[in-house]
Formats: sequence, structure tokens, C-alpha cells
Amino acid sequence: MTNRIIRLILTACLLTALCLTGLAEPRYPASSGETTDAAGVLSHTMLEDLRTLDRRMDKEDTLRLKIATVDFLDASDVHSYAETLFDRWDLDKNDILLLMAVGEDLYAVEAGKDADKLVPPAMMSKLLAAHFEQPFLQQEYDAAIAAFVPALVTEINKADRVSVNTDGLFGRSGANMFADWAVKLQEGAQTLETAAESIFTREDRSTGFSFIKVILTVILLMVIFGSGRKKRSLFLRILSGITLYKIWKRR
Amino acid sequence: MKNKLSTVASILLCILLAAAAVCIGAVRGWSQERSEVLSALEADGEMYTLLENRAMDAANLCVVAARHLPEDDEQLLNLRAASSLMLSGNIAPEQLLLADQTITDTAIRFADELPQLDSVQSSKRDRAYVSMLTGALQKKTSLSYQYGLAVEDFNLRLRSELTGRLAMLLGVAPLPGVNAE
Repeated sequence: MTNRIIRLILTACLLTALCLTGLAEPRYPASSGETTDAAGVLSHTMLEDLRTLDRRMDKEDTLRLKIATVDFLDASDVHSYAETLFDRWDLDKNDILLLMAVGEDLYAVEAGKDADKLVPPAMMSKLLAAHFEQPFLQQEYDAAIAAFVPALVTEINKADRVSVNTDGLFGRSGANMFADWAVKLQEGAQTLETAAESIFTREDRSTGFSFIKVILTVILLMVIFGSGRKKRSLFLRILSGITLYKIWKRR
Repeated sequence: MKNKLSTVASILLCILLAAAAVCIGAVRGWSQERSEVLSALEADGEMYTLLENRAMDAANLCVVAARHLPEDDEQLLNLRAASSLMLSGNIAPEQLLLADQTITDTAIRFADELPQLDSVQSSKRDRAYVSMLTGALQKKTSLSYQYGLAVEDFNLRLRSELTGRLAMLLGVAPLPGVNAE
């Protein structure tokens, strides 16, 4: 019995040892700064823009974005590969790693603890789906990054209350800044207009009264019941009465 | 008469003992030499790393080929099985060499067949990947060349020497070659 147990233990140890000599490790690229374009798919302009963005983010002392492109994952799962690459490159809690395996049409994001809190995984997935996925699958890697990164930076600015500027980067010229302002002003004016309108209409729907109607009613009542010359007053009074009727007729 | 018989028996016994000694010696000696040649394929060896890299390239070639070939394509399935086996880690050196042979043979075929497919021709990316990966899997490195020479030398001597032939009869097999070409 004792011999049997010993044999079983030894067999288990041997099997464990064999397993540990185990699976081949994929090949990982060495880090070359904020962008490691091991697959050679990004343009020089894009690399420069990412370098500039990294400096701007460093100035604001906020999250940092690292991008890695590889051709293949060497039979590894994309998320495991990204996780291992994150560790190998000694990235920290403020880093976000975007891994693009261009030969396999796969991508993954690995984020540090603090980065995860500021841009939660659900938000990150949304941003990737909305801005990154389509151009990536169409092998337009510059376009994918140019669409995704500004959207990500906007989120980071909101969450971390910083103001990292992406103007002049990723195909966005300085002139766009003014166009953006104009659009924002217009939107703001429209919002005010809608808000003003809603104040008047909201009261009307809920109580039958509206602000403007009350004012008009007061004025018209003053005209109808106020003192004045007989002829003009009669005409005005009749007119005011008709107007008052028309205002309140919708009730 | 009695003396003659016992003499003959003794002589026969001596011959048998000598023959047994030669057989045991042949098997032991050639087995040891075989193990020494195969030791280059041990897990911490350079040759093993080379074969691992080839297995990973084969897995990558499977990814590209799968976009253009049917799922049940025999060559694709063989390539996938060979690379998975090599990457599993727990594999005897002879199996490693046989799997590597499969990878090389398939890479040679894919290098000819895949670029002729319309879908590969219409994808600039995949044309480049097919060329890169099949090229790498057919390429001979100096390490694999040296290993190939060692294997060839062992097999030649095993087949030509008397003790070698005896060892083969008693179960010592020649080594499969490495075609890292």
C-alpha cells in the first residue's frame, strides 16, 4: 500500500515536471517607446503624431497610451499575448496598451489599474467598436488609430479632468479647431433656444398655462378693463378680447 | 568421449558469451551515440529553440492559409497538427523531427499552391505573408545544417559498420533527418 502511494506520488511529480518543461513561448517584440511598429504598418506621420501625443500626455501627467503592432501571435491568444507584453514591457497602472496583430485581424487592449478606473473596460470596448474596429479590419491601420486615439483622449480628458490637445495630430488641422468652436457655439445656441422654448411649452402642457400666455393675458386684460377714450378703447377692447379668446382657445 | 563433449560445450558457451557481449556492446554503444546526437534537441538546446520558432511560424502560416483554404483541407490539418505537437513541449525527439519534416513538406507545397489561388492574389497582405512564412520554413540555418550533417554521419556509419548493422538488427533505428532548409 505504502509502495503504491509512493509510486503514485512519483508519477504525479514526473508528470508535473514534464508539463512545466511545457509550452513554447511566443516571440515578443522589444519596446521602442510609445509605439512599437514591429509589423511595419504605420506611416511615418502617424508615428510622429503618436510621439507628439505622448509628450502632451506626459505634460498633463495623465494616462499614457502605448501601441504595439505585430504580424502574428505565434499560436497565442490575443488577450494573453497583450497581458504578457504589458508585463514584459514593465508598463504600470497609468498605461494603456493597444495591441494590433495585423496578420490575424485581432486586437486587444490591456490597461493598468488606474487606467481601468478612468476608462473602464466597457467604455474602452465602446470606443474601439465605434472608431477602431472597422478601419482595422479593412487594413487601414493609420485611419483606425486616427479615429480611435482622439476619441480615447476625449474620454481621458473628461475622466481625469485634464486637457490633452490632439489638434494638429491625426489629420486634424488647426483650422478644424475654429470649425469645432463654431459648431459648439451653434449647438449651444440651439440648446438655449430649445430650453427657452421648452420652458414656455412645458408649462403649457402640464398646467394649461405658459409664461408668455400669462403675460399676454395680463396685458390684454389691462387693455379690456383699463380706462381710456371710448372709441379707441372699444375697438381695442374687442380686439383684445378676440386675441384672448384665440390664445386660450387651444385648451 | 565425455571430455570431447564437455570441451565442445565449453567452446560453444564461450562463443555464445562472446557473441552476447558483442551484441550488448553494439546496442549500448550505438544507442549512446544516438542519444548524443539527439541531445541537441533537448529543451534547453539551440536546436530545440530553432524548431520551436519553426513551429510558431507554421502556426502563423496556418492562420494565413485558413483564410483561403477550406477548413478540412488535408495539408492545412496536417500542418496544424504538426505545429501543435511541436509547441506542446512534451514530445520525444524523434516525433519532433517527424513533425518538423511535415512542416517543411507542407511549406514547400504551400509555396507553390497558395500564390495561385485567386483570393491570395487579390490580397497584397497575404501574398507577402505566404512568401515570408513559406520562405522561412524552407530556409536552412547553419545550426540545422550542422545537425543534419551529424545525423547523416551517424546513419551512414550505423549502416556501414558491422556492429552498426548488428545494432540495427537488435533494434537501434537510424535517425530521421532535419529538413530545416
